[in-house]
Amino acid sequence: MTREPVIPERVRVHLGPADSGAQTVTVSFPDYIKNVASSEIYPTWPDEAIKANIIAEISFALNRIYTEYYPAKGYDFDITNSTATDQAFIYGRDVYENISMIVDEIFNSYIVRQGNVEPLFALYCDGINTTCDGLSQWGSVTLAEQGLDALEILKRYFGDNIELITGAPIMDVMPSIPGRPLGIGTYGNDVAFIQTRLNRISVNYPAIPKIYSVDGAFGVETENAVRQFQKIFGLTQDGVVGRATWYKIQLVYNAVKRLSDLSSEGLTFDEITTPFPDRLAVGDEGFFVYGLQYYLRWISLSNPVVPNVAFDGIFGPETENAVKTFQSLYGFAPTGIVDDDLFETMFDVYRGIIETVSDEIVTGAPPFPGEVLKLGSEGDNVRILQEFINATSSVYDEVPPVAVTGVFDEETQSAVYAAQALFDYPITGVVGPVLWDTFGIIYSTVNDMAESGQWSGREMSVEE
Amino acid sequence: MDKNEKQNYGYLSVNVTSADGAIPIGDATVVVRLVEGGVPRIIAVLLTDESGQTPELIIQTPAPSLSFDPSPDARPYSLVDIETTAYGYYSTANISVPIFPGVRSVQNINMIALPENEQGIPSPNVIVFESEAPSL
Repeated sequence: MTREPVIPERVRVHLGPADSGAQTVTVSFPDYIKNVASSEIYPTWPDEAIKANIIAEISFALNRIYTEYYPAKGYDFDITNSTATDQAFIYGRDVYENISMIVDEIFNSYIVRQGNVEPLFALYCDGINTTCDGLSQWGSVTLAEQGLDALEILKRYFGDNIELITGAPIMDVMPSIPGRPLGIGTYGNDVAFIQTRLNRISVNYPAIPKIYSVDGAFGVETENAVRQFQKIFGLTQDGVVGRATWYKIQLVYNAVKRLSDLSSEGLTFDEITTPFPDRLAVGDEGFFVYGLQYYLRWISLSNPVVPNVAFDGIFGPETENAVKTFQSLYGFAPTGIVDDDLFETMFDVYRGIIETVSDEIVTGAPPFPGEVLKLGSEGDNVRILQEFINATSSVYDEVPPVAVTGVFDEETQSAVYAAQALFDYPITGVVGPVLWDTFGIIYSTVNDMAESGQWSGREMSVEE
Repeated sequence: MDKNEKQNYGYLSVNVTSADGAIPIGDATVVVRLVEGGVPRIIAVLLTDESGQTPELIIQTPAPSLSFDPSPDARPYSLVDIETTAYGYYSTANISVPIFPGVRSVQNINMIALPENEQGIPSPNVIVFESEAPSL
């Protein structure tokens, strides 16, 4: 057996010793672990002690599942709740919030013996009434109070040659977690993915506000929906989709969908379309290629190893070459193909560059701030955008002027729609790098001309 | 938590849903009894909101230091009984739910719908879940 262990979506727990005629229940894997931890240890203990115990409990359960211990003996369950052979599990019990939050973060982490694949058969016992060749529950408290972290505690009991595996894949449940937390200003297909799922969940949980524009741009609307979701499902209410929230959204979504499978609710159009192309490669043209080139140009500026590219919206050999170089630099296979993962990495690198150079830029329009702007956005970047819009408005009658308030309101949105229509960009109301750059060029030109006294405003824009 | 903390109360929230969390049940009645000296005494009657959640309840508990002692003088937690009724579902009782100081206990209750011909009749059948504190 060399296959890699995967985290099952659900676990079948037999509520009694293996050969008893007790009931078998099916629960989600994180719920199983929350229940075990709440049944095995006191929730008042220090966090690192709780974490060490949870990792041992996860490893124990995964070992049972990976080795097919019970199914191999002809039983139709994965584990029992008999503490003589397995771990405590009390069906229907309460769980503790602090334990629950830790489990949501680390339920796909476990320990292995170095060089081995299978999750460690991590025995444990209380250490006072019973002792064993494994973790002592009471002992973990003392070690945590001495300042040891969870892994150090585990090493104390299982030896120094154990390794912590984190982020194990989860069986056929969900797409893998994006490499970055999703919060205000991020965009991409993974944001659209979260938006459609939250909207579906809100059908059953109407307290979660609907996200009306499923556009792949993370704005205030999406943040509010995420916060409400986090409140209902006992997660930290930070409005950011990190690991715990991402998985929880998938689990709840699956529960909600499974229920409606009874009335055969298929995938809706929303759920399969993505607002951004899944991949860009040689031969592609247009708006999204401009976006790619915008990032590449900045990356090239800060790291000349990446060749500069023309800003022409054409994915030709030059762009491909730059993409390949970027891929080799950042540990990707140099395929020349831009997928979601690569795009995210590029966006992150770009953001890093903008943060470091923003102080040095004194002339011209500021570069794209590294966050998309849409209805509800606030702050200095919106203020700059509104000045851009007004500069554009002075040249193009189609774009209405707006009040410079720093708040992306409906007036600003209308102006953005108008500009997108004018420039023949996708009409989304969302300001990304391409529109920002277009605005920026117009803004610089208008300013330069005003300074040199050659520009007299609207009159010159009258053509035809 | 620090074992020397003085906080002698914990929290309880109840989430009432059906179909393994896929449907929240609003307007469910949740009766909470604190068990002292073996006698349950009603301390709160709560209603769930549209997300199936009750407001958070504060419940008195023993001192945290007891749960850091392998052989304490008294049990380190309080026990409550929770009884839940909702129109159209079998009633449930969660017995001996342990509440620890400084910690929020979350009791998820998965209700089972009544058969159609029993709808509207208060069901005498109660599904009982017995909880248990860790045996440490």
